[in-house]
Amino acid sequence: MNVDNDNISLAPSLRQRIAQAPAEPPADLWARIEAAHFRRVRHRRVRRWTACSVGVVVLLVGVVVVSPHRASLVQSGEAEIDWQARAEALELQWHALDSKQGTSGTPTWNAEPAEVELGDLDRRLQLAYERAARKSELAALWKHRSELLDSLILARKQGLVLTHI
Amino acid sequence: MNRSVDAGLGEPNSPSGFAQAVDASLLARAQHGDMAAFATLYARFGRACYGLALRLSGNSAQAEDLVQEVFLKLIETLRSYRGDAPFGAWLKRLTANAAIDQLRKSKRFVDVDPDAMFDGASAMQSGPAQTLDALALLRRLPPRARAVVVLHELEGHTHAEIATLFGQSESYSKSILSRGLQRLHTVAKQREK
Repeated sequence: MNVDNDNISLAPSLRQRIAQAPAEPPADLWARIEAAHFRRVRHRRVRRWTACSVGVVVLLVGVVVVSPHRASLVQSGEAEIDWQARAEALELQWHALDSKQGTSGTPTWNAEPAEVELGDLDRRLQLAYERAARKSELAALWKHRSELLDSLILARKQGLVLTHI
Repeated sequence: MNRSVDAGLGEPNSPSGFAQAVDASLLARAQHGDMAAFATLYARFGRACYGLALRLSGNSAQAEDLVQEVFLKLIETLRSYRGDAPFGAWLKRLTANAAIDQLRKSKRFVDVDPDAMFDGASAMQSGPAQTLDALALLRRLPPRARAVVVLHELEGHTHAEIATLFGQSESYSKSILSRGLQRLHTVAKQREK
């Protein structure tokens, strides 16, 4: 609906009556406003305090739950070492030494006992993988293999006979 | 056209309504959360604010709620007041917005169609025993029409401003104003007879 109201406006007498109508707010209105304001402030403070408390509790629970786990990780810091990768790197190093020795003529050391142990370790690893052993068990085997290779490399460098580590 | 009569004490352009100047120091104190400064602002503008709220709502209890809401909002938002507009004008806008928000929340705001709005308004008429003062005249209008008439005829808002406030078109504002004014004049004439 489109009504043209350009020619219609509030009669001056009517406007004056409305504008001059008494409009006195209650005497206690400001006191009520102030009280409502302080109530709001108090509620907000309580809400903030509650939120902070909940936050602290959550934080504490987190610390309590996470700390022992973290401590055990720190204690078993070795678990974070990739023994498999280390063993593979050492094996490459050992083969490099082996081929060097092969070209230089007479062997100066006997690694047979250790190589037997290495073969035994490889079989145990193979079996562990086949029965889907736990990570910790595999890591222990790889660690053992790394240590054995370490000893082999050291012995070969020094021309010693390695019987057992 | 600016017919603002500064609905506060009823005196056109009276410096005692929304048009009062406010000391920068008083505003600064209030902006820092000084409740005594807010009390002073209320002492100066509370009546104008209540007057406008009463005209817009047509109901003293609602007007009190509106003034409370406006001053609570003022306490919380005065820090954002940059002084681009005079403080009184800013407060007046705050009051008008609060009244329109209240209208939006109430079920009586549902009738967007002007015909339905004015048909339904007959039920809101004052009883014969009620004194037909100026505010009772305004109460003869449906809430939205009352707000449009007050904002346009008494507070000097343009149709564009009213349309924005209500989320409607300018022609809608004009239509509501026209019908509202016709209703007011008819009722006023009936009372004069």
